[in-house]
Amino acid sequence: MPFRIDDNVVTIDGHSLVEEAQPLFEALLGVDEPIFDLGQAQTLHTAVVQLVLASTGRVLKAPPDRWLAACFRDRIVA
Amino acid sequence: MNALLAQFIPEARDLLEQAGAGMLALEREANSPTVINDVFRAVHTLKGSSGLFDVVPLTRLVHAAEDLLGEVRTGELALNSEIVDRLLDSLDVVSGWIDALEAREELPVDAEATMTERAAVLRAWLAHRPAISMGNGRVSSNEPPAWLSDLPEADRMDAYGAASGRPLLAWSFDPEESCFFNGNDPIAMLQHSPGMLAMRTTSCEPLPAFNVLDPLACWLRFEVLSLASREALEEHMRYVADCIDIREIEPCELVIPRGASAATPVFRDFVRVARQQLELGDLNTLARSISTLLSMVAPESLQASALRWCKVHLASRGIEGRADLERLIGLVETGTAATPSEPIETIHKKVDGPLPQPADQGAATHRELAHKIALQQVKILETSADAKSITGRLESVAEVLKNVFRAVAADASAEVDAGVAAVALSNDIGQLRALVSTLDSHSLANNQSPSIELPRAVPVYVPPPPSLPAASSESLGEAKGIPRVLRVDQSKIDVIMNLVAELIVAKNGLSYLATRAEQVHGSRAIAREIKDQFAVIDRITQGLQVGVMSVRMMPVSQVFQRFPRLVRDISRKLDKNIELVIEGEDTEADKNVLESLTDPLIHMVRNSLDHGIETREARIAAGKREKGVLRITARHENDFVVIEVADDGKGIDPRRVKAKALQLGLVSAEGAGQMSDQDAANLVFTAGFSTNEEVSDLSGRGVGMDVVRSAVLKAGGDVALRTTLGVGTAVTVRLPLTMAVTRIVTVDCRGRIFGIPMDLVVETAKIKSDRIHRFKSMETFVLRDAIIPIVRLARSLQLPEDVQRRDEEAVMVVRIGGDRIGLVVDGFRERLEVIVKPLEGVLEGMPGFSGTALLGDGRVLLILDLQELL
Repeated sequence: MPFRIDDNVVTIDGHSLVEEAQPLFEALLGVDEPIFDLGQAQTLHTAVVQLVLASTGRVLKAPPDRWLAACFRDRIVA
Repeated sequence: MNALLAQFIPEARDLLEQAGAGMLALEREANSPTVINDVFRAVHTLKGSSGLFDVVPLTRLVHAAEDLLGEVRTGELALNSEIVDRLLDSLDVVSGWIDALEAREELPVDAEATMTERAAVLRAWLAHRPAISMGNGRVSSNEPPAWLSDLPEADRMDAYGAASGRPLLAWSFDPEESCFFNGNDPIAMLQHSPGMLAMRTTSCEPLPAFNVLDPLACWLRFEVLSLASREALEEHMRYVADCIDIREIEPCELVIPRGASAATPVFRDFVRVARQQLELGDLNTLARSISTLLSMVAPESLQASALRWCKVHLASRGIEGRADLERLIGLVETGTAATPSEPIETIHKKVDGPLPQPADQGAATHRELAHKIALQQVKILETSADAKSITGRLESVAEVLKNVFRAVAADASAEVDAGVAAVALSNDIGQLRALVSTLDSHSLANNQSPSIELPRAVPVYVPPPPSLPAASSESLGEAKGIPRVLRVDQSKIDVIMNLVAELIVAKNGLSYLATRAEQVHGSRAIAREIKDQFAVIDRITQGLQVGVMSVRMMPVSQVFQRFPRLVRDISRKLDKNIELVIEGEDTEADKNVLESLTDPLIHMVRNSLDHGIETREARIAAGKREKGVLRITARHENDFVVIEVADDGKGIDPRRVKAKALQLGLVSAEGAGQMSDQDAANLVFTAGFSTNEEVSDLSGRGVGMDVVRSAVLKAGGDVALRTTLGVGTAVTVRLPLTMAVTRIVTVDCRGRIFGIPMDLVVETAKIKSDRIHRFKSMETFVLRDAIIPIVRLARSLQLPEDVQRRDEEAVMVVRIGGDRIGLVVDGFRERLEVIVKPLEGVLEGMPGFSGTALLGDGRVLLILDLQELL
């Protein structure tokens, strides 16, 4: 599993696949105000990206990829 | 075969069937938005799914159909029969390609040419040709997209600089909600898209609360600036061509200054000087003037935005495009294009470099910057100035300070005015300095200034109400009503079914063992125990059989759904007006039974359309409604599924049938004379019989009804025909619900045992010999007022005659076709469930037997083919 949760810090490493979306979603349901560390995330599937965006979480470290990082810069228009 | 392709093929067939059925429905009710949407969705889904495979002609042809349906859906195109014909033709082609994919995993070699031809036919109907082709037909326009101004200014500036005056592409990508299930990863597609300069991620629609989100539904939307060519981009996004919208824009269309107007006298001074510098071509001085002013104005103001664009313009294009530069400078003075301000961190990034991402750190930095700007304003007041400029300077500083405080969500207009007044009256800067110090981050820590709320970078998570526990994924699935369907290869079900059938046969061995235990070993107790165990196993195997059978049961609609199209096409070809009525399409039968039913039914329907229902003129002349009715019904009768095809046509003329039978030598003149009208009508089931003088491509080849009868008999069923001259004809097919396990009853005949399918058995009876009478050349007996003809099995099988006279005969009454016949045997034995195997080896082709079955004691049982024997 490429994500782990320590208190409310959610660290996502390596290459996340669409299969991780469901367990991540279920895990995030139990985390108040999550803080995401994506600094070691090499690839993030869109399903995972949108979960991060939809949660209340802030992003401590953006992914190294420029375009992945761009996903977390703007506020999602709801 | 590729697992994904193996999954795609049945799905594609389902979608094609849905689309075909929907289009026929649309022909009848063209204004039904539900039906239009259903058809469109089916075609759209097929196109999307096909994009996963290297079947470009298929995708493009379906795309053309989708475009046409899209115009029907929006009301731009009125549907008519010709359009439906063309759409159905194209879907037929696609259906053929699916068959080819299944057989060879590739499209036919002529697929590209076929696609080009068919797609052109479909596109010829499109009301509006696309101004700009999107892949293969997506309509687009060249207007700049509305979302352009929502892109962060920094991104637009970067793209502006990178474009260096060249046109670029502004394109959006709205992935399908179900795209993850198609294996798509939209962000990965974007990461690899050519020439990307900027990307903004947003949502397609307002988001629900986090806890009710479907994590596997894509709701993101992407807006992109790109320097790629349209062709390269379309090629890269070809599999999701319908999800993208590409616009070609000029770089100047990115220049959209945004923010709240903050007009002050200092801007007028700047504009006057800037125009002079521009006139003189002193761009360096102009750039410095812009930087100086930028350090003084509120960064989120419209003027600051215009100034930043001035800087970018000067840096990338210099004096080129001077008109644009003058427009921006003019904007600084007029400040008329007031729009909602952008996220402040975006602006800061361009001016002073990127801000740290976390919102709290951003807030602190933001306040520090505000403090810095405010201190600069105070310093401006500390420098010497002549009397002429002091008033303008004070006004300017006051405006900037007010903006600075507003930028940190603190309205300090009154305090600023008071401080500025103190400076004007007594040159006292202390009051303003004290005010500015409240922006110091240390004072923030001491909670001495208003709190700061910055725009969040993520949507708000709405926690569930305390009384509602977080929904599990399972309950979410149930709440959404998602059907839990498992597609399983039929061969796997067949393996289980065959094993169940073997188990049922093996179970019969226990019954044999019980008999042996009692009769050979004299142990009645053990025999009883075996029988008890047999009952348990029997119950379990029956449950198992019912369970597996239910998996194989399918509604007859699987067969019926092709008839609307068939009837439509044939009736148009024959220029007949025919209404198709289908009833009982939910009736279920075993998949194999349904498959065996398909061809006979098609023959029956074609015969009714071709020979049964009259032409419009003939019907009117006969006093009938111009529109004929073909009724196909399905129902269960005990362990049978009964399908009836009935028409209100001209019926079958028995005299004409007899004459034709005589002509063909199928009956003798005497036989024809004695033949009842019903028997005459049944001659249509004879091989090679046809009353139709002309052979058409629909029927009339003299094989139709014979093929029907053969197929039905082979499947263990029977077929009957009722007809009334001038009123109509009904052909009824009865098939067993399942063909896997056959229930039989065994009979004795001259020391041998034979099996008779239970389906044919009406009843068994012991008949006193004196109740058997000879009528003409046939033995008969009366059973409840009905005369039943008798056939002696031994005689039919050419077994030795029984010399011993019996007082009573064992008669098994069986139903063959519509007739009941008494079959005389030596004795009745047990009922069994067996698997009937076809005759093989030396037995192959032996008349009178339909197959063999294995008995519990290992003996082979011959199953009688009573239809043939009697």
